[in-house]
Amino acid sequence: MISVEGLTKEFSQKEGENLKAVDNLSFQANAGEIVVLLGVNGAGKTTTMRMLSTVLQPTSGRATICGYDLLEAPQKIRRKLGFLSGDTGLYRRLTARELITYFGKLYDMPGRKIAERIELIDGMLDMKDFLDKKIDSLSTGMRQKVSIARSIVHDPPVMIFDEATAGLDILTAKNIISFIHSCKTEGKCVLFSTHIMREAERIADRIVMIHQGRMLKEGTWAEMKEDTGEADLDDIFIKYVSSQNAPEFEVMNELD
Amino acid sequence: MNWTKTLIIFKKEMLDLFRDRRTIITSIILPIVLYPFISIFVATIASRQETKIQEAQKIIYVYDQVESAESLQLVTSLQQEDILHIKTTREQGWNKQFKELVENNDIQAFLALRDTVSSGYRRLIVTGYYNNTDDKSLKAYSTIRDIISSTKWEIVSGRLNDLNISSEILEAINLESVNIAPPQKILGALLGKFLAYMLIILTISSGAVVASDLVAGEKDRGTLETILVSAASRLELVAGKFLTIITFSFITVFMNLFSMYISTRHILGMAEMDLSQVQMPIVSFMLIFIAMIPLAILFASIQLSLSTWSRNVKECSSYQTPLLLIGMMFSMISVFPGFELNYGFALIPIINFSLLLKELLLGDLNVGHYLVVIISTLLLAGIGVMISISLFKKESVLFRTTEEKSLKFWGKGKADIFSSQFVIGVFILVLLLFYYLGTPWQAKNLSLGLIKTELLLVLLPVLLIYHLSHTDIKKAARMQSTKPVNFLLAIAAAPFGFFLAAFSMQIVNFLYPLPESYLEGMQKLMQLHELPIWQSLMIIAVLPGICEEMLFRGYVIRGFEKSGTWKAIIISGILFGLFHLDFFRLLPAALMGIWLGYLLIKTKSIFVTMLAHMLHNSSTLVLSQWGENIPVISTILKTDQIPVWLVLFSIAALLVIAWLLDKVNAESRLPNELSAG
Repeated sequence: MISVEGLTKEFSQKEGENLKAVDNLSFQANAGEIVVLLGVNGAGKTTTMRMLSTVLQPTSGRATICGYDLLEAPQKIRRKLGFLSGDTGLYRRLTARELITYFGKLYDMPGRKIAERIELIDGMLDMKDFLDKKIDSLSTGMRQKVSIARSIVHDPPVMIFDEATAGLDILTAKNIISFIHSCKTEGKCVLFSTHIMREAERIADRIVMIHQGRMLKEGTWAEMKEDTGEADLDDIFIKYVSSQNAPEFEVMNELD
Repeated sequence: MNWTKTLIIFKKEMLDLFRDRRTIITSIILPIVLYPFISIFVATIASRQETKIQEAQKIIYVYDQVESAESLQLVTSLQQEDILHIKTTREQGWNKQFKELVENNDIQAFLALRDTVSSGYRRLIVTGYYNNTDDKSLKAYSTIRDIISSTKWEIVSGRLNDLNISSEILEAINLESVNIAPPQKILGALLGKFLAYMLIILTISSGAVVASDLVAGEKDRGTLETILVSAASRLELVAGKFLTIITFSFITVFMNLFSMYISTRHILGMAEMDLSQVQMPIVSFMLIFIAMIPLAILFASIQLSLSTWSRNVKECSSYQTPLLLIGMMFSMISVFPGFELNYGFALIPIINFSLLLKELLLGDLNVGHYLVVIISTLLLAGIGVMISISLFKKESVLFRTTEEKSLKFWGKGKADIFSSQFVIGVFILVLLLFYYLGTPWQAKNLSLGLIKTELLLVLLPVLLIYHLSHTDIKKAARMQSTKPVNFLLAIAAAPFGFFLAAFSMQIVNFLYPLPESYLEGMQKLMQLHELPIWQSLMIIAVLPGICEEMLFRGYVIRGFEKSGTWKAIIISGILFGLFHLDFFRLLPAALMGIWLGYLLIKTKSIFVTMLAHMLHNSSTLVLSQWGENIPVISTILKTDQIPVWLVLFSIAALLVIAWLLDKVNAESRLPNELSAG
């Protein structure tokens, strides 16, 4: 579903100098799989997510989503993609239904189909009580549900969550987590980024660790545990980071 | 580009906008309520005040030294006027005391009567003291004047009757005044004065509210990303937002104008002015509306660009203030008498609309002017739209969330003196100093002022910057020798550059005729209070050649070289043009600046550009002194026209010299790059 090869993004910082936010990143994510992009703040997670959601253009490398190339068919990719981030805002003066309908229309969905889809999402997220209320008057949890509904109104096969639980209280975050699991059961491909190790531990089928824009390690939770001999994900992460910074460790890892 | 989608976006934005109570109240409801309220309030107060002045008793003191038949007749007539309360006085030392009373508004006028005799007739002389700043005194005085003139008529008639001459003899000329300006024209003249101003201010200010919300607002709310990943393309998004700004501006403008129109009718009705004959100039209004569309697009594109550039709504509104100020200043031009639309003004946005509107409302439409205004504004609007679309596609602009170094400029960190922001900051500072210090210095003493300006305001800042930042000035300012042939080429180019500068001045003069006072000022500059020629040359040619070159070619151009040589040449050239703070010399000076920039980049030596600059300035001076003896020059000076063949030849010659400069210096090993330090 998602295939990333040598993806690189440079930002021109000062005149002449460039910052590599993402450096030669490659990984895969398949249907029915939850892949977690794990890294500290500034590791390049958001930049990667933005490139994959066609908001930013990669400097080099390539990626395909549902077989469409990022650079060649961004419009087609957007139709296959649901995007949700932690600081996603909503148009507060619209009602929940108006907002979802607006995004549905932007995906060229006919009005009848949008109404059907809202019905379905409502059944899933239980939104009946506030569908026709202005978003301004909704609680954080309700707003989060509206955001989710917005991201799946066109029933995309690929879901991208960029720090989607950051800054949310436990109950609201739980909504998202259970929604992610339901995406998986529906056979969607889920890419989830976070800097919270526990969260990654709980939901990931596979983890892609990145640090300073570069891939640190890719694998399942169990593989990483075995690889490092550590039980705690925090310790595993720290071990990989220190190995990247000290070249001799890297050689030893490769020998393994 | 899919218009259905643009329409979906437009509809959503309008819905969102109309649900925002604050926007609706400030932009639509407030004006509707405010105009009638203010106008009724003002009209009531004004008419009440007027009646009060009319009916109030005015105290007039009359000092009658004469007490002749004539003076008594005048005093009696004055006393018969109801609103005048006449008091006679016989006090000595009247002059000072009564004048003070009038000045303090204790009494409204003071009349001193004396008389002389000429040709056997007594002549009464009335000296009237009144206070021009007091409405009551003015009203009293105009009544007194009327009474004096009618009394004079009565006395003269009486004298003629005594001589058996009919008083009809005095009716040699009767003036009957009829104002034939049709009511439309009166209304047009009135509207033409302030309508453009109102329209432009309303369009800009209402557009500003919406525009800041449309992109900067989306950044604030965190909705920008969601809309970018949706299936709408960026072009469709920009188009939808564009339509929203323009529609909302027009709605606001219509609401305001409608409310203003009703209120004005009400006031005029209260003033008992007959408006039944006044036809609203519908055709003119339609033409104004059509002319407004390109202008509204231009404003919308600027506002959308500002909004896209801004990190948040607050930043956006601070960028919009200058736009509003420019709009106000430019649109005010129609209020001043004497400004009329010509093809030169038709090219300048806002000013052209303002003057066009005046022309239209007076019913003097010139189709050529109308088309030039619309087409030129449309071209600018097109450029504006392109800029806002490209900004919206630029990720570095859309996600400009981190603090940029433009702000660090003010911080403690070591500023990069060659960054474009720093250079522009220095340029603006020099410009301000030039305006606030240099101009008064030069007004006081032209030659001394010029010397002080060049040394203290132009050269000193560069020296200070290089000194304080410990920069090697010789390297940075390219104070280095170069091949002698470069100097020869610069000298060879001088006369052609001079002809082209003169020709560009001629174009400017054709579009925007130079005022007489301007030419006199230039003449004065050339003569410099009759200084000896070598001193004039020092002040006009040598000094600017050194100081201005150090600033522009020695420093300013460095700020833009990182983004490309040609960009640096053109930007520094335009800044050089702006530096002259002279609208008429903007074009010639900018062209000159571009040429000097090219010289510098090719020869890598500031000494060449200094020489070229000095030659150019001195040729102006020398030719104005001795030009009459040189064949081609004398015809130019006489006719004020540069022959076309000379213009074409000069362009060709400069191109050849430019090519030679490129060839000669192609393998130059002179250091050009500036190592960071």
